[in-house]
Amino acid sequence: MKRLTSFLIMLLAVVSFSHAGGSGERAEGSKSETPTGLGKIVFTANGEDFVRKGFIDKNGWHISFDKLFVNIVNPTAYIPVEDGREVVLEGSYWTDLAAGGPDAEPIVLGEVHDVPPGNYQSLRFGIGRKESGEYEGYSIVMVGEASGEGRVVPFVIKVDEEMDFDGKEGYVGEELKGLLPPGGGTEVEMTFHFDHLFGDIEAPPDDHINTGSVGFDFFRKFEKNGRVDVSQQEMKRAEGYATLIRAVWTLGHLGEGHCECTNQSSAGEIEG
Amino acid sequence: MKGQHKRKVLRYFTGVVLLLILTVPYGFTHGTKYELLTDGIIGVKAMYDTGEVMADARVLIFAPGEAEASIITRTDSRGIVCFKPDKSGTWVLQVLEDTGHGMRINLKVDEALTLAEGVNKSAGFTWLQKAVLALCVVWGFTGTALFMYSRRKR
Repeated sequence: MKRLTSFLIMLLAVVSFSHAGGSGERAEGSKSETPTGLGKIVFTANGEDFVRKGFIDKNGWHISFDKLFVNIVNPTAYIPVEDGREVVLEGSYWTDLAAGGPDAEPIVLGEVHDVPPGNYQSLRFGIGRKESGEYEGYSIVMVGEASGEGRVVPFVIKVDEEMDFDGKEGYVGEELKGLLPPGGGTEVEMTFHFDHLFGDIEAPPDDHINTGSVGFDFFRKFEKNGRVDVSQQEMKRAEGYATLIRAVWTLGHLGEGHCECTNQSSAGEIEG
Repeated sequence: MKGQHKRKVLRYFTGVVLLLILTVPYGFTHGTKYELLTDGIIGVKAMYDTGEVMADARVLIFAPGEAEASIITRTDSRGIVCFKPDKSGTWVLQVLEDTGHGMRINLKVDEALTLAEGVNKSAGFTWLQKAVLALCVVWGFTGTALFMYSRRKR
């Protein structure tokens, strides 16, 4: 009996070691060498043509923005492997995505220098409330005009939702971003899709861009004296509010690729 | 007579050269052949989150370390796109829908030019599991020692 017990113990020990060894190996693909030559990463934000040139929403309103502010917090470019590096542009950046006119380039938030080369394809960033000055307490402010039905309705829409976006898979578009060669430079871009809030008349009615958006008709409910000036708190009881907030959670992209959204301040009130 | 013969030979020679010039290039360009590629092909089926296939969608494929697409193609009617990587590293495959949205897949290709498996897998054992394993090993050695000791005593 004792012999049998000891044999079983030895067998268990051998099996344990062999399992631990096999599983503990790391694939070659996750190891990265560090070539010499430091470079820089430029952090940019882009509202695309929807923000710069305007568009027609799903209800037929022509939407144009004079200002479109987002408060971007601690954008971080990173290499998505287990021991990958990350580069943080620390601080809050109150960014006007409509700045520079219809043909403007993406807005530069800042640069980080002396960065080791690598593929910083992934990018995460927070959207937080502004801590002082005009629009204090808000994270996204849209200022513009909606034209339709023979009239023009100026609007100021103030959102205080806070959230974190993470584009793990990387930028989706004609040219990849975040590839930093030794001694060179690269650009990373946070892209915001505001058609997700308003919808797009050019897309089919059953497209998710229209079924998941509220359109300007939602904001028009709050029109007073020919203009809309409304905050998130004032919209809370309106029908369609949950749709609006769920659409806000989908604003963050890297190019055309969706970002995962977490830590939403309204997550407790609204189901995802 | 000699001159006539020379001219005849020259005419014949010129004719043969002309025939070669006119026929050989056409002969090459008309020829086609194929090779079936079964090894190292990577195929992706692109779908919306509803399960509907992304048929005839634009596809951009980026070779490792390249910022510009080296292959631009479209998915077929079943949402499938295939390519054969020619170097190891991370290939990026993007599938873009007409409204602009798209997805990106980062495909790790190993030295054998096949899709790498097990990349980024973590060690897989928790501290508790490791502690239990260590205990088993200690127990195993102690048990063996005691067993040997008891045999010697006898």
